[in-house]
Amino acid sequence: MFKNYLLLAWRVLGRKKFFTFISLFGISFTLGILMVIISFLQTELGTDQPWTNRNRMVMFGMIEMRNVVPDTTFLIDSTLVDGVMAYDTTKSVGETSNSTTISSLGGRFLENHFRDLKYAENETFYIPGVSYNAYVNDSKIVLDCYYTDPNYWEILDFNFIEGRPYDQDMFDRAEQVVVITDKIANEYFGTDEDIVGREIKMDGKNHKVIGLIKKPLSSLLNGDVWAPTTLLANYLGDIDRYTGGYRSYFLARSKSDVTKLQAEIEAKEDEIPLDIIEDYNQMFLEDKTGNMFQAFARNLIPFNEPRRAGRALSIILIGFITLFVLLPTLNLINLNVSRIMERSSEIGVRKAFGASKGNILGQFIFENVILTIIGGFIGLGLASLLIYFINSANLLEFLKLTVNYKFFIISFIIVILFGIISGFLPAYRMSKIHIVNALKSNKL
Amino acid sequence: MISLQNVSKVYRTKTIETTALNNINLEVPKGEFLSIMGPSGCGKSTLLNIIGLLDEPSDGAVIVAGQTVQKYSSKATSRFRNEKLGFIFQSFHLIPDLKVIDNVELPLLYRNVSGKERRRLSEEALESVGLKNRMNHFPNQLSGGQKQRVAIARAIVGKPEIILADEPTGNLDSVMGNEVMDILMKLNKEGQTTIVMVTHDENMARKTNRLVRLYDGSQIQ
Ligand SMILES: Nc1ncnc2c1ncn2[C@@H]1O[C@H](COP(=O)(O)OP(=O)(O)OP(=O)(O)O)[C@@H](O)[C@H]1O
Ligand SMILES: [Mg+2]
Repeated sequence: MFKNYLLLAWRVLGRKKFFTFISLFGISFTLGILMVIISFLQTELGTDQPWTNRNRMVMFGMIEMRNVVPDTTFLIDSTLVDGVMAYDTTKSVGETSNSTTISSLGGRFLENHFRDLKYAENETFYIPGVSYNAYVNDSKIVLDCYYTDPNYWEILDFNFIEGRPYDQDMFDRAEQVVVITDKIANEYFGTDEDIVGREIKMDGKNHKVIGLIKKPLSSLLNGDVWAPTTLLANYLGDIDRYTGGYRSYFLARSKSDVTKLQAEIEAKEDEIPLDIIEDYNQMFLEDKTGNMFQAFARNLIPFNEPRRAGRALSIILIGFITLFVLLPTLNLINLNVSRIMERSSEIGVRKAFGASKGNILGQFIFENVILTIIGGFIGLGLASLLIYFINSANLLEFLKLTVNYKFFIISFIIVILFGIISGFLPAYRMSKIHIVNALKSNKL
Repeated sequence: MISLQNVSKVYRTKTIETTALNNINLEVPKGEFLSIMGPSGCGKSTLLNIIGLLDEPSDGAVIVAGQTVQKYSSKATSRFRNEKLGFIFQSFHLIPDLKVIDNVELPLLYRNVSGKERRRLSEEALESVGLKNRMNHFPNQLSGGQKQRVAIARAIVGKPEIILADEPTGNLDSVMGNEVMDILMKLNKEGQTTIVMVTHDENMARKTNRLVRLYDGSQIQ
């Protein structure tokens, strides 16, 4: 049966070359774009290393501090009562904020108030993006350094090519050790083999390399070197400051605890005392945490609040996918309607000889799926080309798109779905056609 | 084999009502070769379509091969058409994208028959209409008479009890028409197949067992 349909599909597509070309063009273009989007989302939102725990992670990296001073306003109303001027005075106390800061977090602030949260299984406080210049053979390379605690390596699951991360002891003793990426190893040492044990000079001091990791692809992590925070002088910051260079990740006990964990962190807004702080008297944490999708969104859309960014990105993504999938689908449905109409007498004959509605439906959906699979392969080619181009031209900074088996599986499912959806409506309509009317169209 | 009781068919459109068939009573015993004649528009095709379960009567009962037909769009009715009925159309209705052999095979696709068996039965059917040597041609490489013989092969490949033919020779010259007619008569005699045929040709009608004449939707003899 299927062999028969396959043969027929092949012949029909071959006979209607123009239709086939137009359809394939639309299908492969749509699917190609879709595949690039998938690859992008998969790289940014998937659970490939080091983001194995992505679905349980909460990021918290910003606070908003304000200094609000009371402001008194006098309002004087005058009325003429019995020829005498009467005054009615009201006093209102308003609030004016005369300084606001939105900043990343202080180390002490995190240590004192955010260790051992109820809904968190683990947490890491780190300082991203400290840049150092290094000189190799008279040419300058920039080392982007992350300073972290040892928990960092438990929450983020890096792929260690060689060696291991620093542990609590090394952290406490402030050992001059680093973990570096294969990319920077190649730039610095000219090789990425036997790196562990070598020394890298950063900030004027020698650091021993104890681990070599694969450069992560994600835009949320654009470091080259990782070192213990304790290497920094006064690494926790001043006592009277809640702001600083830190950011944090928390690991919820379960996926469903993520929002509870976010709420727990934000509720600290009312608990943390402010009297030790010099410059500010109010603190806002609302909407300052994000799950990893929101964190990703915040990276793309310049909103301070991760959740707001998350909502905006969801709308943009849905809109984009609607536009790029729905429109071509509708178009393909339309093409299919006219294509199937031309074959109404074939449908009449088939039904007269005993084809059920289901047989007709199956046949035409099958034909359409074949068409979309062909389009899907072309689209895959297009997508690969596009991804290769994006990667090699470095269009997305800090981000390399990946094409792996998950990508193929997701793409294939989308292709099949696309074929079924765009084939179903026309086929369903024609499967219900009255036999006598179908035969009358007399096109065979 | 076929029994129509008080069958009427009325087509209603917004403006007019056309009575295509008016209270038809017809009995066709097993093995009969019946022909239907009448002027254009008198309802011959409508009658044949109703016998073939392709169309639903407005009124009356249709009993074919012992079964009273109720739900025309059901799976059971599709199955019934597939097993009991074979159709031959005036304009052949072969699928142009399929080779002759694949066209003939079509009714068997909707049965539980292996590919090998389908092939064997189709070749056999083509053999019986003398076109086995053309099985790998496409329909547009055949003459009208050959196309109609392929259509006959398709109608008989599933060994139906009843064959319904709507002007099978209408598009053919007399030589090719006679060839087709000979095949039908042979089927009727040797295979005991019941055949109902609509025709405009008195000569063809004369060769059949019985002739029913329609006039304006009514049976006149
Ligand atoms: N779908 C329809 N809607 C309305 N009227 C119809 C429809 N199909 C057929 N008719 C009418 O029913 C009558 C019978 O039509 P039918 O096709 O059965 O005639 P016929 O005897 O086969 O004619 P011919 O010899 O030209 O093939 C005609 O008057 C025709 O106009
Ligand atoms: Mg007719």
